[in-house]
Amino acid sequence: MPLLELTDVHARYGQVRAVHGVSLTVDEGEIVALLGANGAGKTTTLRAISGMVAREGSLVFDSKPLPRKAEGTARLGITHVPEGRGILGELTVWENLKMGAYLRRDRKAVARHLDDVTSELPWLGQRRDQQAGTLSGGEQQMLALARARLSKPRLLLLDEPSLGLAPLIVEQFFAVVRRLNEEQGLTVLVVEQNANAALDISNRAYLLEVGRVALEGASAELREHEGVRKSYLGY
Amino acid sequence: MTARRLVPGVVATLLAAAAVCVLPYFLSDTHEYRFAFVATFFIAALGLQILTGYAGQISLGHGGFMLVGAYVTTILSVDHGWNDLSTIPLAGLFAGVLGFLFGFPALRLRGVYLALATFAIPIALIALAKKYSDFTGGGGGKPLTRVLTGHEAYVTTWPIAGGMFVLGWLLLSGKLGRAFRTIRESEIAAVSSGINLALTKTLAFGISAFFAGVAGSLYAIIIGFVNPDTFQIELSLLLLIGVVVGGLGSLVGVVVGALFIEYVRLYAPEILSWVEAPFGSPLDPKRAGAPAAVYGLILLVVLFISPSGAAGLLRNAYKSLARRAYTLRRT
Amino acid sequence: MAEFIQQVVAGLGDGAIYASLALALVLIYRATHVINFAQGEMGMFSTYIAWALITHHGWSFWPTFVFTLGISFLGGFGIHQAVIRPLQRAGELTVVMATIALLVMLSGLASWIWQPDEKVLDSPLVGGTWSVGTVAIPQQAVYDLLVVLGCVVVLWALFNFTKLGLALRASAVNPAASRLLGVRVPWMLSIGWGFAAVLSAIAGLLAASAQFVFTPTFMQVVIIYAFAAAVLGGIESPVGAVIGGLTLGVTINLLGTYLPGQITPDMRLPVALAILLLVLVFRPSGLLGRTLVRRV
Repeated sequence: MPLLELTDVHARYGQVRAVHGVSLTVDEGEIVALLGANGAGKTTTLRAISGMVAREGSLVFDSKPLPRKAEGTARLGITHVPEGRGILGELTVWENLKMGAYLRRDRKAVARHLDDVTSELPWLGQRRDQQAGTLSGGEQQMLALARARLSKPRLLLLDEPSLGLAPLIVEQFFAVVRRLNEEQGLTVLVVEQNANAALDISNRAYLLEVGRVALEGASAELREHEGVRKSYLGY
Repeated sequence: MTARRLVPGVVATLLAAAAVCVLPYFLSDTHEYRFAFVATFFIAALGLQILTGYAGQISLGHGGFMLVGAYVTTILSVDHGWNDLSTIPLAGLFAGVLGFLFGFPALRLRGVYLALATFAIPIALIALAKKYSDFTGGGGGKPLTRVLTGHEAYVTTWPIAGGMFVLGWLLLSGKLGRAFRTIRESEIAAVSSGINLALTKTLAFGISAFFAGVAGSLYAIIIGFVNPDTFQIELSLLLLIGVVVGGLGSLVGVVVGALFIEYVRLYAPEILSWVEAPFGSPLDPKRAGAPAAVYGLILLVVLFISPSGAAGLLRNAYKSLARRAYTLRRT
Repeated sequence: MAEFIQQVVAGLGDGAIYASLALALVLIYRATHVINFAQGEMGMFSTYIAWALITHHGWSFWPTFVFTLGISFLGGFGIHQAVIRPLQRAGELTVVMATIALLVMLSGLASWIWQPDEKVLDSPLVGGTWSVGTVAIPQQAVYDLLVVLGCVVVLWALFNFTKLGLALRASAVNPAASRLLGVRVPWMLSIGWGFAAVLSAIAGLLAASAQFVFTPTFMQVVIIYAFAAAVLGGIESPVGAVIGGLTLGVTINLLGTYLPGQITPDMRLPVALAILLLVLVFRPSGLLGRTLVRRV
């Protein structure tokens, strides 16, 4: 049974339809990529999963239908790191991290988890009282990922994490994601315009065009696909 | 504007004008008197509509400009022997200039901050009126030279109301009206289309204050007495509520608004009895405070059901009727 | 000198009342970006409820005080859920009009239910003076100051040291991101309105205790001072609101004492308004707020 299964999902912003019948699956422990150009409906698909937009169709998580509201999906262990990182700018770095653990009740485990995360990324601890909005883009992305980890997600949704970031930072970021996937079996659905990075890190990928799935398959195969190469990989 | 779009408006206006002319024959003197008040509220609400409905600047203080008009008329006619009706243009002008001047500091304020600032106008003016009691008669008020009958009040106010309506319509259908509406949509867009934001906004204030001044002047004349507390903040809020209930941006809506302001006050006890009935009427609906409670309640209901007011409802009704007529004709 | 100290303390007492209401305004503005024109009337209504409990039902003051704060919290919460939340989709003007509708409605309801005649609130928060050397410190002012500062401290602690406070702040800062973290944002915003209602109730109860008598319009003056204080301090700054309120209270009191000719009691309000206008025009972000740039 896949962890997440979307069947013929439509999503809209008010009266404007952005997703027209998308079907995809994500198995536990996989990293799946959603590729496509601007406006293809990738972000909207993620938002449909996390409950931020109106949607129709079948969305099943862990054999149960997904709740309609974001507060509900978060409670099921779906952590969505939105486009632009969703940092709580006026709060401190530490407060952002604590908010990651908002839904958890095990205070001691949260404290330990915070320690673990800060020993991996010492700068987070050093800058704990800094206003999160004053961090650089790359730092905010790392903070967002650390915050997401604190929610102990069963499924991590990443929306355009490489947007606006230098290639080196993007590499570092995805290295952490890969490590989390390998060591802890973290399941990830990542939306990316940067097809290269996305295909590198994922097992499987779906290509969206104008709100529909145009192509799907193993990432290694899609890499070699001529259409994908020409339009999205640049060679 | 094409002729076709003008037709409903012109027809409605002519019908309304005819109704106004004919009404006195059917009304008692008391009712004519009440209707005269409707006319004064109509003029003031018209001014507020120009400022808030068309130019998009919220004013919570238009009662203050009415106060100015009322006192100019009172002082000129009582202390300087002017004929009371002849003071009206001057009263309007005085209020208009004050409004124009207020427009300048107001330029730096947007939205709710502007609303906050306008809150200050009536309060400050009332305090000044009370302080300089030698001119104004202070808190006790000042009577005017004559007292009018209902019929006299009616025939004094409605022609002027009609004239002001035409004036407003002319102003709004021209370049100025379009400039106002652009500002309401987006100030940034207005500037990029070459509109002088500062001048246009201060003009909006000045013109709407002129209307309020005329209204205040008439109000003093038909009541025969002027008192600073009449123009407390409630009056300003009431004008705004009337404009919103009638429909922002709609001249027709102003009529509804003016009727609303005058008649809800009178029928509030009835409305409250009706609301109370299922609960066994624990409170006497005629007690003080009833009208205010009803105004607020109706405004809330309007905001929920039809935020574009009565005019919005009428427009939608007209549209769906027109659509039906069109499809009927085609089949 | 003694006179000066007395007037400063008295001013601080008045200022504490303005600060409480100003803080309510700031709280609501930070949470929902709405200026609640009805904030004063909400406090007025709460005060009438307390009055009715004490006078008609024989309750004693302190239980009434606590109960009234509780009811006010529920009232603020309810108003946000029932009125503000559904209308926010329709735009800023609609929400402003909704708060005006509430203002007018609450004002009318209070007159209707309890009558507009003068009432007296049987409160222990009045008092004579304490003599400290040659200075006669008004007890009233000290009580007002203590109550308000106490509330401010409690709220500050709640916002900065509790999980709820963190969630409240997060909801105000970035509602969408907070929802994704599992926060029930609409509830949080309503809780914010609840706290604001509590602060208004406190302002009302203190103001009614300070005056000999009160009527349904007694908070209209206070809300103007509170607006001035909130804007003076920066509409998004709670610290600013408190400092603004206290400063305003002291300033107006001193002006009234040392310039009795110009600043008669009738003129106090226009002076506050002049301050409000000056701040709005020359420094709309207030003394402690951030400057919002809007160059055209």
